[in-house]
Amino acid sequence: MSTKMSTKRPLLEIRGLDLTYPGNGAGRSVPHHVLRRVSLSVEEGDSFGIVGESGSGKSTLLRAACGLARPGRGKILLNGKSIKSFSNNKLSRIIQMVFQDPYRSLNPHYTVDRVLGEPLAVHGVGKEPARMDKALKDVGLRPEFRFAYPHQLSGGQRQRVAIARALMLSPRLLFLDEPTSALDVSVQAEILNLLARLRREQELSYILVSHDLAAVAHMCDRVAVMKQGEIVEELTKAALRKGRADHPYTRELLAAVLPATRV
Amino acid sequence: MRKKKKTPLLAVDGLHVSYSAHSRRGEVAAVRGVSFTVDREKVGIVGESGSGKSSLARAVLGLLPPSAKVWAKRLSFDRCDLLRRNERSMRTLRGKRLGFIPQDARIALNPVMTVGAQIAEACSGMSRRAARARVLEMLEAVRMDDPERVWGAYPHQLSGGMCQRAMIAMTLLPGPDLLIADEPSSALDVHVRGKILKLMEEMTRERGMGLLFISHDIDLVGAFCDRILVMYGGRILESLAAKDLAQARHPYTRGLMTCAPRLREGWKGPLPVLERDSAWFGEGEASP
Repeated sequence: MSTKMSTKRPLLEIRGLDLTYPGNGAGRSVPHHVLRRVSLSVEEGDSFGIVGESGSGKSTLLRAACGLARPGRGKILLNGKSIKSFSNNKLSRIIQMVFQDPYRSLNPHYTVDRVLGEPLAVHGVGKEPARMDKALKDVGLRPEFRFAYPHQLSGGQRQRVAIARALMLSPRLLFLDEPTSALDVSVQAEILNLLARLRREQELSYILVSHDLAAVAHMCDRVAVMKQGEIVEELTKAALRKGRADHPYTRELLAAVLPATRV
Repeated sequence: MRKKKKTPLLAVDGLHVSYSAHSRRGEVAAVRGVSFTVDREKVGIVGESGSGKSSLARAVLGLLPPSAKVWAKRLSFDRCDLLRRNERSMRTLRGKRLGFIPQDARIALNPVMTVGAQIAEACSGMSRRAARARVLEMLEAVRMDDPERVWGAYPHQLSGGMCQRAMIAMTLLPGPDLLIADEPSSALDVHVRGKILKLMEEMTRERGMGLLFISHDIDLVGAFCDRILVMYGGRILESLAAKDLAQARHPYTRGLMTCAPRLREGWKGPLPVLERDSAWFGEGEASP
């Protein structure tokens, strides 16, 4: 595996990222350190997991890595070039995001057709019916769904639409921010299977953020554990499965999961 | 244990809840003939979204909207008939003796009141100073790092997990006899969740509180509760002791258990997907 890795160049590389939010009214008068010296690298075809509790900076890290949040210090390199040198349009053809709550991430006034057509319109790509049908088919939705509104869809169907939207511009790297935590376990299984299949078929790379260690162990080859804005440990899938962690915080997380997964 | 175990704390027999839909199809049956009892124990209700868990909880609490129709052979809490109670007398039960933790605490909390003042409303008959001390004590019990800050904060200044804990503190403060918790831990991180569950556990054990714990997480309910009711399509498909969960018979219960990814012995290929059988939906009992 190590030889295979060394031939690949990192698709995304983050070096020593620091991000601070200024003090606000929320009882916090001091600046809030959200990210501290975060470094990671994701190679072409990787599936990289980030776990940690709420407020540990997982989502902010994703937002910074696709240009939605401004880091104070550190470097974000995409294919070896600083992310600052990419225009928004260029960036969105490489990185796309799938959000946690499909009930909130889709505009309730837009039909599925419009949700999927928007990225194409912005990028001046033709919106042929065949293209829309294929996009729906790729995520396991029938063509009839094209003119449905979000409220007519179940949570799982909405998340499929959100994934289809993210894939419209054929990106290389998907950021998945808790993509199944608002869904039932049976639907989660379907969505995780879908994501695994799409990664294989379209040769995508993933960064999956989740608080569910078991889901991350199922989907990812490597996992970073975040605590208070810092990556405290990086583990392989095998180490995570065997519970082989060095950092006490990771052990604490593992101990909190294991009693429940006894079946 | 109490009073020769004759009447259970909560007795539900043949409960139905239906909503009149504004669109074509007339009525939507959310709960279709559910019977169970809860005593001084932890009973878990497991089911997916749309299975009728929350409608069931709200029917017991008398919190359904007027458009909902509720009927049952029996719906009683500590020997009072909940079906015959009017809104005013329900109010004397709710909060004090019947506690409820709703699913989304951020929505449930009043956005224009400080969290401390809201929780203090549960301390009726106490002096201001005593109420404040009691609230801070309760906030500490739900593992808030900085109870003083939470006391003075508005809900939007707190994280989702902190709002959830504030709500739990508010509900547990009067020491209810029966606590109905609708997904109380889904917004919490694993280690905070463990502590909150422990607190609820202590309250059932030490104070003899009854707990109706609603969740979609079958592993969690199996590890935490004494008994499990599995709901699907508004009915109870299977009822079993938590320790027998591994031997569950119903394919739906088994399906819920196998489709979650596992940390230790994970699936190599795709996760198994739940195949639903239309027979699980069942006939349902006819409305009277």
